[in-house]
Amino acid sequence: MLSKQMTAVLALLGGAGERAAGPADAAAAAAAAALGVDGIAAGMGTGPAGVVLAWGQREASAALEDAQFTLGQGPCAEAVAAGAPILIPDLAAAAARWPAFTPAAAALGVGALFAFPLQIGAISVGVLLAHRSATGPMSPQQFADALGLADAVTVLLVHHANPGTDPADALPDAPHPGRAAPATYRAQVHQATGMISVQLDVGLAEALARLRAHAYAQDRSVADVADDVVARRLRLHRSDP
Amino acid sequence: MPPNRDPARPADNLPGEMNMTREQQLAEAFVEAADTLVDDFDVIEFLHTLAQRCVTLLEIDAAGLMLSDQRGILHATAASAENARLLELFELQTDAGPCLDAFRTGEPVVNADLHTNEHRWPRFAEAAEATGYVSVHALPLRLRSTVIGALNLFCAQPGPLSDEDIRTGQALADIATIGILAQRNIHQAELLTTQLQNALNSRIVIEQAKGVLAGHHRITVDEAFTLLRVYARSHNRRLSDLARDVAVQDPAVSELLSSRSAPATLTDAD
Repeated sequence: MLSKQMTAVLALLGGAGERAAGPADAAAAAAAAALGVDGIAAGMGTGPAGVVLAWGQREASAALEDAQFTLGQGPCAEAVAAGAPILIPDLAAAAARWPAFTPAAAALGVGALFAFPLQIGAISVGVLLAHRSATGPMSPQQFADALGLADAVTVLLVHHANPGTDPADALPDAPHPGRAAPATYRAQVHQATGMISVQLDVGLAEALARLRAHAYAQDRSVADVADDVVARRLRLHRSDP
Repeated sequence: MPPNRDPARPADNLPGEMNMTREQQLAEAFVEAADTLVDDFDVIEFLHTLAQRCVTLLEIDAAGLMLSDQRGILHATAASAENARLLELFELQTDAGPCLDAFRTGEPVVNADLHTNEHRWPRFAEAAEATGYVSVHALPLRLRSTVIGALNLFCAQPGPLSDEDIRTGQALADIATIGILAQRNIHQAELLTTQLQNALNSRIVIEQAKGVLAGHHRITVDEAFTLLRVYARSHNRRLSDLARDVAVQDPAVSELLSSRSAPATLTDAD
């Protein structure tokens, strides 16, 4: 189960949209506090344009990403390749794993690093990276919270990459069934994503974004619309929603 | 329609199982669990094979495995037959049934005759009978004090499982736990959650791939899964890797995505 703090963070993220700087900052700060880290950054690739959520030691976060990109090694790439979180509670112990990256990160004052892939099946939109100067593992609760945060941020990024599909664009504060997080999706949602990807000749991320947008526009749940797509009662078109 | 095209049946028999004693089959299941220690092990394929092994070892009609995510939400992850998977999904949606009880209590729910247990899970009992199952057993997947999921056994005939069957069933459930834990050599405290996360995401990739194949070939998602498994076996590929290529429509699997490949590939396997 998610902690109360992280539940509140996800409500902030889901309600306000990532473009309103104030609430997103508040969400990121609350997320970092819940995870017990000094800095947190999530985004697509490197550079400020791709970062949708950042808090705390932003310079350290940016420098960490740069170092991994430049050196071609580090936890972010490994998290993407493994499809699973990479948790480094004590950076010094990882010196053999990343001989070039470890001293660079240590020089930034980083003692522990946690990288979570932002993924829904074969959709991969980036990495959530959290870091702190103190060494030591995340608590099981913090770990569960981080996974929940990664899910929520993944959905934000899927819409971010496909402008015009974000349910939050239309009606920022209303709760809506279309906002359900991917962790609670039934199999049909993923099957429908694959079918739409073929039917519209788009990538899986765009297919999912369009499925969610369609559900939102029709005021139906994503699962119900997905059922119709899989049963071939509904076919999305390029001009939808 | 050839029998093994029927999605309600296992797609194929396991190697040599017809000639093996129960002890040999159980030993085989443990050997497969040991195989999970090698690099190219595929957890979803392993769980599907294990579900099929449960059916032959325990002389039941279907078996399914459900795994919990970090929120404590169960996901139907593998099943020997499509109708068992649908029944599990139904149970998850209605939030009541023997498998959920086994998961929540950590205790086996065995010999749950659905007729006499109608009051306990009325909607599940109704759905199970409509699917053709009259008796259900559920065994927890346990790791010390943590319960990570449940193994569900479905029977079309009433009649109890013997104590020996239950012990064997629990051993198979334990094998599933071992396989999930062993799938990657990660030395960290969050091992369990990480492994589950990986297994659950692999399952999502497979669902996406089923949708892609269904879209390409105008077949059902169940037929798409059969196609995916048959192709993975005949091309000696890990199911999860193949599913990823299919989901993103990688040119490497253009043969499988082309309009003429589906019937030929299915026929090859029959």
